[in-house]
Formats: sequence, structure tokens, C-alpha cells
Amino acid sequence: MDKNCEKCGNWLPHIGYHFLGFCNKKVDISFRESFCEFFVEMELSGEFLWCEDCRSIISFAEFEEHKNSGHKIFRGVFVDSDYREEIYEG
Amino acid sequence: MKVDLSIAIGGFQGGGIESAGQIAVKAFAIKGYEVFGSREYHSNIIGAHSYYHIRVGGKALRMPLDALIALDAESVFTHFRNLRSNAILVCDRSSLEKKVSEIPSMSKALRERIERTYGNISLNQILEKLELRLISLPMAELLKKLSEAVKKPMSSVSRTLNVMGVSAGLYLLGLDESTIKKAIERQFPDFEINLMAMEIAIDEVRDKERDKIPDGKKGEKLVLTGCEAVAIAKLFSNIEFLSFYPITPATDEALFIEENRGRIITVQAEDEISALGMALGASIAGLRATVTTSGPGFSLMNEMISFAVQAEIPIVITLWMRASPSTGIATRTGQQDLLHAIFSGHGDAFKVVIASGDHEEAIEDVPLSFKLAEDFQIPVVHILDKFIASSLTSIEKNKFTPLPKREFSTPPENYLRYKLTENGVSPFLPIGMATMIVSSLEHDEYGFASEDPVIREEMMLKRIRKFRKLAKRVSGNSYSVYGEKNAEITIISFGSTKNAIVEAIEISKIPAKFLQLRILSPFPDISEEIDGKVLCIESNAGQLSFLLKNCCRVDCVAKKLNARPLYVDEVLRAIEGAIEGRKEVILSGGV
Repeated sequence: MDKNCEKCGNWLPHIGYHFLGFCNKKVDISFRESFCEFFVEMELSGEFLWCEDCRSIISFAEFEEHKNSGHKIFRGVFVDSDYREEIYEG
Repeated sequence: MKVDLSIAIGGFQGGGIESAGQIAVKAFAIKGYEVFGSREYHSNIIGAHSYYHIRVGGKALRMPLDALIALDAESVFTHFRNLRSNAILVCDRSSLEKKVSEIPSMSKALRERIERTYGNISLNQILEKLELRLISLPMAELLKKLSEAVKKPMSSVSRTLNVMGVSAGLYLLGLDESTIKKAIERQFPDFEINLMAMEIAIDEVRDKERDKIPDGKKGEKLVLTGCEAVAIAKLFSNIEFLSFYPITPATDEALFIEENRGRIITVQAEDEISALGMALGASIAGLRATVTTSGPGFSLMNEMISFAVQAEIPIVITLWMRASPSTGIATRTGQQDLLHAIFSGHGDAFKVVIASGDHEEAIEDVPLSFKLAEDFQIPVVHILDKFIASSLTSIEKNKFTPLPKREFSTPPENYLRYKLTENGVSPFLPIGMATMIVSSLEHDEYGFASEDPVIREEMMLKRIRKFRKLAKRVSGNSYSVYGEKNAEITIISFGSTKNAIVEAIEISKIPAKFLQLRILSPFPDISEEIDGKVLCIESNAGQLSFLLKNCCRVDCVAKKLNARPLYVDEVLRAIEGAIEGRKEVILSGGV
């Protein structure tokens, strides 16, 4: 279980469905618990990251705080581009 | 056999909950049932929990739920306490091990409420405590199957998960495959992939125990949201000008008109003051004009409302009432703009305020609003609860009636725009057809500014006479009466609380009647209609009861303050509370 998609640097979690995510290597959906030969260790870097527990973008400066709270942090998040139906004005 | 179902479809915002809900509503409407669906969603764009609550066989929402179609674990955690015994629960198999602490999107307040009662419980543990018909779908597996069947990457089929969930749920509730298919085709006419998703989901549950439901009434019905109903009614009313500034939920109405406008001029103004200013200009020029907005936008329109009163310009303002004050909870319902609507504009700003109780009434009230606005050259504020705006319901096709275009007579030689008449109504001609001055200043009969005390008094009395005449015209139609004569309790309310109250008094053991106020300015005299105790039900802090106290006593006020719609069972509780002698009942239903 150490080298499944969830731990892979190519993978971004789906914003809504826990079991789904997007693999940048295969350019397709893959499941959180899946394995494949393209696995690479996830390196968290860059200005912004995705905290799955808070379901929000965090800055790298906040990374330690979220990690220490046991939150799951990813390089980003996968949002389907076809979610226009849900967009409303203030 | 009467079919009466209460169903919720829940998931994360962005996961196609609205589409899934609309498919369900359309499917039951195709089957011939009366159906009503209400969407509850957050004001952020994506991620938070949203759900669709559907009532089949009625027009009011009720608890408990007979079925929950949960597209994620959070939906089960949010709604499980509302499920009746032996209800159907359709959910994703992979979410069953999830504990309440593992739901990232759940609000802290809700998580704490669940943990206080049940501890850090998993879905499986919850389901063990409840007697439910659990159908756990292997969503990941179904997605793989679909991807292989259509030979497309999973990324292009993952958005059909909502269709899978709702198809399985509707099938278990007893709808046949062809009805579900028709509903999906109407929702997504160009996407066959959804039909494949439906087939795969139904195959998965084909051997499970299913409910049976008979066919409903024959005859196709329209399925419309409140915004669409109002927009179509405006199109039938032959509007010629619409201006607006984007705001929830009024934009939905405005964009519908824009998309179907034909020769209608639609303008997205730079703000709400301009929107109403433009519409008043169009009305002065003889066009049938309207604006649409909600509370914050209506605040900005106030100055222009006074102008419309002073200059006697017909205008219809559609005011969708959200949970206020300020931005409040922008996507939730409320009735908190009642007093704002009635007392909007400074000075003696006489105006009409009409409140619709549901989609059908909204369709009737739109042409009525234009008729009153034009016949009496006065602003009409048509108030509708946000609950109506995004609710979807089945409507008879012949509900819409056309309103003839505005007509003007040939100008007389000595045309007086503000002629003093017996009933206070002066002849209206559009600017350009006759010489006139229209300004915000007090004026003489020509429209020339005047501060003369006699002219001022005459013009004030003219506007008062006009409003009295209007009050006389509408006096027979200001309110509707439901229920029994000589009841033990009289419920008074307005707006979208209507259907919940109508249904509640039918099943209440305490004989009750209901006065539904349709026109709130001029305020109707209902003193003759009161029987027994008086219970006022409203979704605000007591605005209607404040008005009622001028014409009758109010024994109890039931207030819905949590920005959720009123449920039938809450009305029954309010009736009991009032009979027990309580002065105030707070209604807290909904999640």
C-alpha cells in the first residue's frame, strides 16, 4: 500500500470523490488505491498546495502546520472542467 | 394507491447534484406524478455538501425521507437522522468504512453535533444502528465498466457518477428503465454516455428488492424552476425591456429571458440603481419594463423606487428573498425582505407588494403585477422566496396566459401628464407621443416643478386617491382561505410556506384554517376571517406578525430562522405549540 496512486507524485485527488483522482502521467482518472509502474515519490514543493482535510488551497508556509495536524496534503487537486452547472453569483 | 415519497440526493457541490435532482423530478413527472424538487446548496462554488430534496405526490417538502441517494460519505452523515425505518439508502461502497472525522468537507459544527451524539462513528456503524435497505454501489468498478464499454478514458466518464447513483435509486424506488431513460435524455439530449451509465448502474441493482409504483395521471406537464416560471410568465406578459445586475437567484431568471428574448431589450447594468433607472426610462418611453433582483440589490434600488412613485411610472420589480441581512446566506431561502419591500423608498412611497406562494401563483402574479403597475402607474414589487427560485416542479401546460401589449390613445390637444382626476389616475402617454416633463420633483399637472402648497396638497391627495382606488380593486383577491370554517386555529402566512401549511391543515387533528396573504401592500383587512387562536408562520424574525397586529391579535408566532424551507411536520408542531399557549415557536427543520 506504500506505492499506490495516493502516494504518487503524478496523482492529484478529485475534489469531491474520495476514491478518484487524476494521473498526470496517464492523463486519465485513476483510483486512490491503484498501483502502476509509473509510480514516483511525491515531492511537495511550489507556492501552493492542496489540503484535502480542509478542502482548500494552502500556501507552502502553512504546510508544516497542516501536516502536523495529520492532514493529507497534495500538490494540487483535480477539478472536472465541466462543473459549470454549480456556479452562482454572490 | 397514492404515491407519496420524500427523497434526497446528496453529494459534493460540483458533482452534478442539480442534474441528478432534475433527472429524478423529470422522471416522476414523465410517469405522471405531481412532483416538487428543491435544491439546497452553499454559496461557495465547489466542494461543500449540497442536496436535492424531492417530494413525489405533493408540493410541499416533508420529513422523514423514504430514500437517500448519497454520492459521497458526507451525504449519509448529513442526512441519516432524517431517514425513516426501512428507507432506501444508495451509497458508494468505498465510503462505508469512512469515519465522521475523515470527511474533510463537513462543517465543523455538524461534525461536532454528530460526534457529541454518536462519537467518531463510521458509516458502517451508523448503518448497523438503523433499519435501512442499504444498496452500496461499487462506484469505482462501475466507472471502469463504463470506460471499457464506451472505449473512452475514465476521465471522460467520471462525471456520470451522479447519473449512476440516481438511476440506481430511481429503479429501486419502482420507476421503470424507459422512464428513467427518457428523463436522462431530456436532461442531457446530446450525451449518450449517460444512458450507458444508467444501464450499468441498473444492471448492478437489478436483482435487488424493488418498490412498485403505479402509473400516475396521463398527460405531459412542464417541469420548471421558479426562476424559469417567472421568466416565461414575463415573456407571456409581452415585456419589452429587462435590466438587471447579476445576483443570486435573479440572474437565473434574467439569463433565461436573455436567451429567449426575441425582440426584448435586455441590459446587464453596472449596478442595481442603474438597472432600475434604465427600466424606468424604458417605461416612460412606453415599453413594458421590469427588473429582477434580490435583497442586497433591492437596497440599492430604493432611491429609484421613490422616483417611480413621485413620477408615477409603471414598473415591476421582481424581488427574490434570500436569507438576509446583507449577503447573509446568499443561496438559501428567507422571507426577510417583507417590510423592506413594503416600506421601500423614502417619503409616502405608495406601491403594491405581491407575494406568490408557489410556481403556479408566480405565473398568475406576473401579469397581475404588470396590469396593476400600468393601470395605476405605480411600482409593483413582486416578492418570491428563494426557495421557489431554484425549486423544480411539474406545472400544467396551459397555466401561462398572454397579456396584451401596452396601448396608448391619441394625445389630446392639451395633454396633462399629471391631470387631477377623480380616481387619481392620469392619462399615460409615452414620452415622444406628447409633450411632458417627467422629473423627481413635485410638479403641477404638466409636470413642471412646483413648490406651491396648494399644488403640493392636490398632488399628494391625487396619489392617495389612486392608491385607495387600487386597494378597492384588489380587495377581493388579497388573500386565499384554506381549511375549515369555525376552526380552532387560524394560521396566517405568506409566500412559499403555503404548500406546507395547506398540507398540514389537511392532516392536522386540530381543526385549522389558513389565510394566505397574496397582496401585502395595500395590506388586506382580514379581521372578519379570524377563527380561534391566531398563529402567524413566517421565515423571519416576526415581520408579518408586526403588520398583523394592526388589524388583529396574534397569539403565537412560529419563526423559521435557519434559512431552510418550511416542512409539513413543522407546521403541525407549530399548531400544537400555539394550542398549548406558547407565544413563540422556533422551527429548526432541515440540514
